[in-house]
Amino acid sequence: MSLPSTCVLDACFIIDWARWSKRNSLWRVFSFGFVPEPVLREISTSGPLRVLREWMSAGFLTVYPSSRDIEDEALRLIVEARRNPRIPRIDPPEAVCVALARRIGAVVLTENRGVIRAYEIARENLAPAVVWNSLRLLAYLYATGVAVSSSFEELVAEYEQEVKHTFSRREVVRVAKEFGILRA
Amino acid sequence: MPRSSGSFELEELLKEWEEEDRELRELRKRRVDREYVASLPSRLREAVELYVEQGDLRLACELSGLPLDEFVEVLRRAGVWAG
Repeated sequence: MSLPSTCVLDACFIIDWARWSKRNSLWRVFSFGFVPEPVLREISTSGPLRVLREWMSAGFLTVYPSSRDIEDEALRLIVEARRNPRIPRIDPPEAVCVALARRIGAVVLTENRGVIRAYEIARENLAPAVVWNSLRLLAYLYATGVAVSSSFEELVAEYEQEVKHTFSRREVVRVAKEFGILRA
Repeated sequence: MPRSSGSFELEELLKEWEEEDRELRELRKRRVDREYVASLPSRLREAVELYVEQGDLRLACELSGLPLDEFVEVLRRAGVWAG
């Protein structure tokens, strides 16, 4: 699977990954990442801020400053999503992540279901951006051997225990199928 | 993978989302630490209850009046951060 080498991080992803002991495996998948300014403004607690500092000082992460054209595109995405009742709402910080990822061809890492579902329902509309939640990144880490575990389910369980964020079991199975790592 | 082009695949995907949402709602209701939630100030308590019912993080966070990361920490303590 060919994956863009750049990622764009949203706030919930940062908040969760700051708690995971294997968080730096992120930089074995991506060579570089952006955190848009509106996302950065949502981070105020010491744990996530410390991780951002570490990643920024290591040269992995850069703050992407607000710009009128990206914010205009983000607004268009929000309005488009609101027209589709099947898609949960998309808020400005996540929309900025997607607008930036579309511009540069990057992977958006987010836990926002609106963004994830907008991507699932019509990937071509958001291309060349790719949108993943943590579960999909975990599947990729497992499938590529970056994260070693006895099974994908075990890796997910370990993540859930450390991060205190639980996934739908149905989604775990669906993602395992998507990445070809479903146990028989 | 389901795409927008196939109406059957789209219907299957929408059904799957419904099932996942139902599973997560039941999980939040089952796991919620009622004692902890009852101890919260009323605005925050209502925000957590809203999240348990609907799973809409942004909406619940707006009601809480807390920054996003602080609200997620409350959800973790309540045992309901899921989705």
